[in-house]
Amino acid sequence: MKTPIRLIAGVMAFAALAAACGDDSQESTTATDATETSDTSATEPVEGVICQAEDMDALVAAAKGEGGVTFYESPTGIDAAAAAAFQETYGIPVNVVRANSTDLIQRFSAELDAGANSADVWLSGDDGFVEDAVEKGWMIDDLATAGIPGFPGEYPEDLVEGPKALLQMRPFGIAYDTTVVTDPPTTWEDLLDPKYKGEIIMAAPAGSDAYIELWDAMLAEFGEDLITGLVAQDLTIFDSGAPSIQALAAGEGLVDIPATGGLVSSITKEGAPIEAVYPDQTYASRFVLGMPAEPPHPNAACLLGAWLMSPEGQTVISDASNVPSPVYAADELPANLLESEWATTRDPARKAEIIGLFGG
Amino acid sequence: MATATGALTRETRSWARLIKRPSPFVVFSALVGSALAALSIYPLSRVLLRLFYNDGELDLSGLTSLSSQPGTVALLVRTLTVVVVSGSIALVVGATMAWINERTDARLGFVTDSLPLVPFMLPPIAGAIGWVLLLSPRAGYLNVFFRSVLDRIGIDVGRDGPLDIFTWYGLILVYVLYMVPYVFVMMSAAMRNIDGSLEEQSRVCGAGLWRTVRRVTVPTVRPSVAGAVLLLAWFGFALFSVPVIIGTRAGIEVLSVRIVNLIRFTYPAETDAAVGLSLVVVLFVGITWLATRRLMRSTNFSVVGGKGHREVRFRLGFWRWPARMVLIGYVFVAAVLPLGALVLVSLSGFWTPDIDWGGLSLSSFRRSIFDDVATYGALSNSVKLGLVGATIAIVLAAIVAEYNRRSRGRLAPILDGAIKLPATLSNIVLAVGFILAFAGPPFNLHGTLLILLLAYIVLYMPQGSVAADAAASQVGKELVEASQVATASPGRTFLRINLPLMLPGLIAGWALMFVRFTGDLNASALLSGTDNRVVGSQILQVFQTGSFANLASLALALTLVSTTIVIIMLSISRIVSRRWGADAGRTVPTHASG
Repeated sequence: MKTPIRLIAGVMAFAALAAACGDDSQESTTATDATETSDTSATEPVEGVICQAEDMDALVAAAKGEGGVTFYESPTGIDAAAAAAFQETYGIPVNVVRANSTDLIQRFSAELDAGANSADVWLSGDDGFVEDAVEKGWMIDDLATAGIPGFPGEYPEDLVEGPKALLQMRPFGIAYDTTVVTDPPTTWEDLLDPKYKGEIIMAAPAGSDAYIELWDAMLAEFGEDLITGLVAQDLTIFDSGAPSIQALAAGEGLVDIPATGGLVSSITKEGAPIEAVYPDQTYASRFVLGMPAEPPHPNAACLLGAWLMSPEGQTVISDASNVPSPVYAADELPANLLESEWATTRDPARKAEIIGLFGG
Repeated sequence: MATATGALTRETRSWARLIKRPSPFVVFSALVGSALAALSIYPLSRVLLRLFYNDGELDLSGLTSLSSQPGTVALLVRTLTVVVVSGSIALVVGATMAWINERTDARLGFVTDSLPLVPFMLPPIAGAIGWVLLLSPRAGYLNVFFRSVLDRIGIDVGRDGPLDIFTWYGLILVYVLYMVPYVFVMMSAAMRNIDGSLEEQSRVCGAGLWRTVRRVTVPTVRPSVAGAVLLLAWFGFALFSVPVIIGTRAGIEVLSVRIVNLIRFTYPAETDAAVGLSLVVVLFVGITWLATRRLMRSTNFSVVGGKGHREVRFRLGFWRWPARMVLIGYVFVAAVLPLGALVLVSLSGFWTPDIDWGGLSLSSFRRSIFDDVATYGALSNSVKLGLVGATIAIVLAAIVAEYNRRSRGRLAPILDGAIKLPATLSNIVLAVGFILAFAGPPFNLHGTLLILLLAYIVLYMPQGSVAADAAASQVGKELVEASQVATASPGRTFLRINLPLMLPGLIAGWALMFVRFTGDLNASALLSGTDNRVVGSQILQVFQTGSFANLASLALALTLVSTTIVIIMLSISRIVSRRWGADAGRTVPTHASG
């Protein structure tokens, strides 16, 4: 069969040629720049602006027309409730991408690097990342310019810090299995008791910057003895909070740290007999909202962001996670929370030191 | 007209020219074959190219990373240990089961014939999760059961154990469970075609059962053993779902998991290191392929052409039911137990050994699957890709199989190799190649369903080809020749003779492809993102971040979809086989193909 051979040889040669040439053009995409020209034509995107609607009704109508919204978030226990409530109010389906902080950052970054942003709204405990993202042009640097009608609405203006808005503060505590633990621990030092040896489940500090802040605050308050004591208890370590609370419910240990209201509610809503105790001296992680610069559904993104900051959205989230809203019920949060220096310095050496203390 | 011989020569020459000119069907098949080959070779060549070039300049970081990355040697040793040990065990178990089913009277008809296919319907990832739920040291259902049994006879093993899935033996157990079906299918086909008279002669000469097996049966199936070994090597190195679920917590990292972690779960992605490790996988499988090539060439096929076939089976007597128990026991351990665990956890709402039998309900299952936009979207994407992709893939495989069979030129084996080799070398490597080749410019298929479809087709084409080749080879030469003598064109012969006879085998192949596409994890882990979610990647995401109940529900949903489709298709296959196939008109049913 001679005729096909020439044809096929041509195809193969073409494939080989394409392979050789394809490589040159492969890595030329960079994250699309948020800084557009200052041309004020109606269709040109303006820097820092995500949506353009005269009022809330117009925004809702435009958002509905977009057909959906994608919510990238790391806090546990709120995704189903938030998605259901938002969908019920506006009829817009919510696609939740829930991952632990580190994975969420990795995923978002990889997508932005490939020039393929899928996120409309970002919520995570790594507020340092939002600033990094702004520097790379991935998120807008001032929420006020996003274009949300009537911004910030009922949300206190002093809680908006440029590109970030505080949405949740979760105090850390100790979760325990109520069927097995009749005398729950009340302080962190109680965990050093021999009866907890081999029975402490923990989420790896590397899983989230919020954990690094926690342990940094604890080190400052209690010293290294607490940490070394905990490590000596033969910790069972999981990648992040979600699998650790699952393991607790399955009976793989007696207690799980560090637990938050949201983490516990994510499992108790399924009927697991888990409760949490919050020591007087504890740290609270901060979950902040950020807005990607070029969301696939701009109007829906603005709408979801506005909703998360509104009293209605805050009620849904705080009920689902069993944690008072820092926006509208701040007085219900613990009064004397510890402070973390690392939250401001973000020193990589200190982070590595903390991870190393736990054997990571 | 010149002399008689002269006229004949001229006429013969013109006839010869007509016969030599390829028919449109043959040209079409050759084109299809080459397109597939290009689709296969291009990603692989991008991977190999990346080892040496990046962004247009010489960059050997792929190779140097092999030495600079920590623990590479340990990683390779671990991977080899797992694959070789589980492969050897699977070979023995699978071959024994095949022998029991094909050469002895322990066979129970359709029941035992299709037993090893049952795990095909339970995707390895679902099985791995099921086994975690069964043998987790503290909360595993089986462990809880064993502890209560041991307790009753006075032995206290403490809060953990007695078994632990997160160990070497736990990992190898699950590997073996999913390798056995490949061996079984391969060896069954070979053993079915052994001429029974050889074994009969052996026994007439006074040789006992074991001696006959050793001296007659085993040497005859040796080529298939070689084929099975290659299949095991390919499967073992490519397997990702089992080591990611079990190996990670056991502290046993293998090559496939490291490669995916480097690309998907590291920022910025360490593509160079991943490509370097991919080269190692290619080497491993390539060496196995070379080693088994010579043995594979002497594989026999039996052909449906009306010749008789002596079926002689050993009488096991007392050992009949124990042998049957072996077959049934395998299915129980490989499919029923893990499925049961998945069902229990899904209906319970969360994983706990304290099963509240009264509180079991479908509400958690419904919530996990139907109320969650992401999960439901993933499931529907997978089913769509499975239905469309399996059809495309098996049709292409059939065309290529027919082209291979009929062609005598050198192009056919080259195309065949080009289509099969890349995916044979490694699924993971090819998936990496797809990222390099198609995700960015000029194709920009990142985040689309198309890139997944192409990847699935290329990745699973070898399996589809094997099914199609087997189906094609069952069409007797005499039938095709008879059709040609009756002056039917190749295209018409294909449609009227080959296709109806191939159909039962092709339908079985379609079912296999569907299961593979929907249950895929290798390509999905690397290529599926937020916008093109599929079940495999969704399961992985839920495993890392969500509840075991969600995970069990999703794995269960996947299994239900696979099983339903496979049962439907296999029934259709049997109906077609009876009406049009080789057995049409016969009153005594023979084995279903595939």
